[in-house]
Amino acid sequence: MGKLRPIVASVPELIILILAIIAAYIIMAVFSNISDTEVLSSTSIFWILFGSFLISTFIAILAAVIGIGGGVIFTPIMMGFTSVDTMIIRATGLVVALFSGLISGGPFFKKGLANMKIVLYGAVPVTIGAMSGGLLAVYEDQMLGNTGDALVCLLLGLIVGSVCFLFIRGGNKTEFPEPKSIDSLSKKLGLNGYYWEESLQKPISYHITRAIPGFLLFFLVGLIGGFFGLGGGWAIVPVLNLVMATPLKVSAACSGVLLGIEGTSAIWPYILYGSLIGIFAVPWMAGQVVGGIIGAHILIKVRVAFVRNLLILILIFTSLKLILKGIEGFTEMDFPV
Amino acid sequence: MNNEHRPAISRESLIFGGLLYWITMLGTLVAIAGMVLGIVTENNFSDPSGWISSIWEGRDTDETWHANARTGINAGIQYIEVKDDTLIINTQKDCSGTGYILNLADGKVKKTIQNQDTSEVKNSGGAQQESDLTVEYRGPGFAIKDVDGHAIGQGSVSTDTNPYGQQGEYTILGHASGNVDDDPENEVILIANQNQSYAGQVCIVEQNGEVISRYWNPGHVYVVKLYDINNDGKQELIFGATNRDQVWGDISTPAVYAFDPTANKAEMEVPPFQGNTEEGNPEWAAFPDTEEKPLNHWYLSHLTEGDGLATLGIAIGVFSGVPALIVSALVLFRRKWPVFGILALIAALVIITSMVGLMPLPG
Repeated sequence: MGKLRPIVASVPELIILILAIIAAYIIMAVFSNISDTEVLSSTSIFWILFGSFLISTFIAILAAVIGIGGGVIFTPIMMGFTSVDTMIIRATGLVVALFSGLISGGPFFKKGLANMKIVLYGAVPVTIGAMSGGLLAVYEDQMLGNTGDALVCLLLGLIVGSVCFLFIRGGNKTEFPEPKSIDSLSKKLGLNGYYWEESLQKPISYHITRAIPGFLLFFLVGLIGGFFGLGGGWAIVPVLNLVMATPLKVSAACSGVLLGIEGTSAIWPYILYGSLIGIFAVPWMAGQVVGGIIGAHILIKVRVAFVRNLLILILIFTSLKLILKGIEGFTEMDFPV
Repeated sequence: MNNEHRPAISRESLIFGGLLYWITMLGTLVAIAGMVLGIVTENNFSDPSGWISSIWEGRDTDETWHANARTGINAGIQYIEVKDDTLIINTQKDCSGTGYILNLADGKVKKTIQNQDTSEVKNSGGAQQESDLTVEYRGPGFAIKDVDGHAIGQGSVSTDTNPYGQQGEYTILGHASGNVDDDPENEVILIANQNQSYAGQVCIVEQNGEVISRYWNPGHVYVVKLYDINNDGKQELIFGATNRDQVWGDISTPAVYAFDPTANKAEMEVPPFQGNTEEGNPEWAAFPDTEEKPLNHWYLSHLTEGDGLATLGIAIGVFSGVPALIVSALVLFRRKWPVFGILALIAALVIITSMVGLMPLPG
């Protein structure tokens, strides 16, 4: 609560937004016109809408602090542990991924954490990849049906497992990486900068390297993020941090903005295909916006290493569940997990 | 170290981040307003209760749209008439219910008739053939008589079970007769519904009483007509019914089917195929009270409805990247950073390509 007070003071619109959301839920609770169905009672439907907002807010804070985007938390967990259709999960997952990124762009730039050059350099490959990924998802859904769902679960499980591996290998040592050499393209483009590190109370300068491998990896990240509805924050941080030697906090901030930009390209095929269900997605969107603002301000204040360990545990479990679900889909075996 | 070493923030960064931030904020408020409108009023393109339920139950997007983007008529089609190249149907026998005008050729809904407007179905033409047969029925049993009143065949529509695993008795409630195959004799078409449950059947019967084809429907059948809908000299079978497969639970939706009864000589289920028998392969199947999954920017034509407004809010937020990139590009060009200005414009162009739908989607 102590950390929230200065955020509220410096971001008055956050209070307006939170009040508007509270008012919206009170109005919906009092004047609700939703009715019982065979599957859910009207009370359950309301709590799904309200619970979605709360969970989304929590995910957004967690994701913004780590700089991974909420999609990598939302999509695998929803796909692994619920029966919701994979296309609806992926479309909503992109909402979760991109809105915390879009809303955190303002604070990240304002505080000098996000680097405009890095963001624009990554924006082109990541948006092209994301649009291609979104289109591929629509074609996969149309052509492969249930087999496609099983394949998506299996591949996503492997990807999430790989993400965990990346994070475990990354450790705390990559918080302030120092490149051994800087390639000529990075030099020509002037991919460097410096920022004020609040936790150390001193400025940190940095130089980016490996611009071409980074460019190609951004495309791949966009493709995977768009196809699976993960967004790209989960991999943009490792690409920036491990491959291009960007400080972890700058990586997290740039990643937040980039995954927002990436999501705006990836989500349109889902919207045009009718896979984004507005009423279902709005609570997740609202939670991401509120949580994204809070998370973006918390990131400036805290060191991120400790939060990562909690997420790694969650993702390892989710990865196993997804792999098993994928195998179940292909073999009709039933694992009691 | 003091704050004088803090880096200065560039103008393009502030503009870029600010546009993303404030447009997203605006989109969020619009989306929340749409959600409230959708939940507290009936002003929706779709039913939010059914939508959340069907998503939670694991229905895919096609099924979810079919099930919920509807006007909520829990009834069947009880009136069918052909007029020129259109098919006029209604949920009441006397046309006092909700009516629809469909293309005869493909079953596409052209118009919905509200307020008991029956003028469009009066004095209809049609191409139904006269028959020389009379049919009498009681319960599941029937008797066929020729033009002189002599009994020439009899039988029953009873079955041990049906594709939905139900046992029980049937009652015949209507018939049509005409020549539906290649032989010169007329056949009799009987419609019968199960007394205890929802199954309905349409039987094609020879004059001697032999049932030669049987079509099952997941819902009661109310009316059957024979028309030559494609001018091939043979009559097609059209029947009006209710259908539970299109939604589920106790809600049913109006349905009408047209098919060539000579194409299949077996026991089959009319679409959608979810039973245990073979599919009936109709010429077309129409569910006039349901909507196809809308493609493209469907919400733009539903902005006064809760779900349309909610989706617009999301779309506004998603759109924020485009103005942010374009305005930043202009600032970057002025700052003599053309490479990054061009990169910003390319990224904006990619997003616009995706948004406008220039890349083709399946279906």
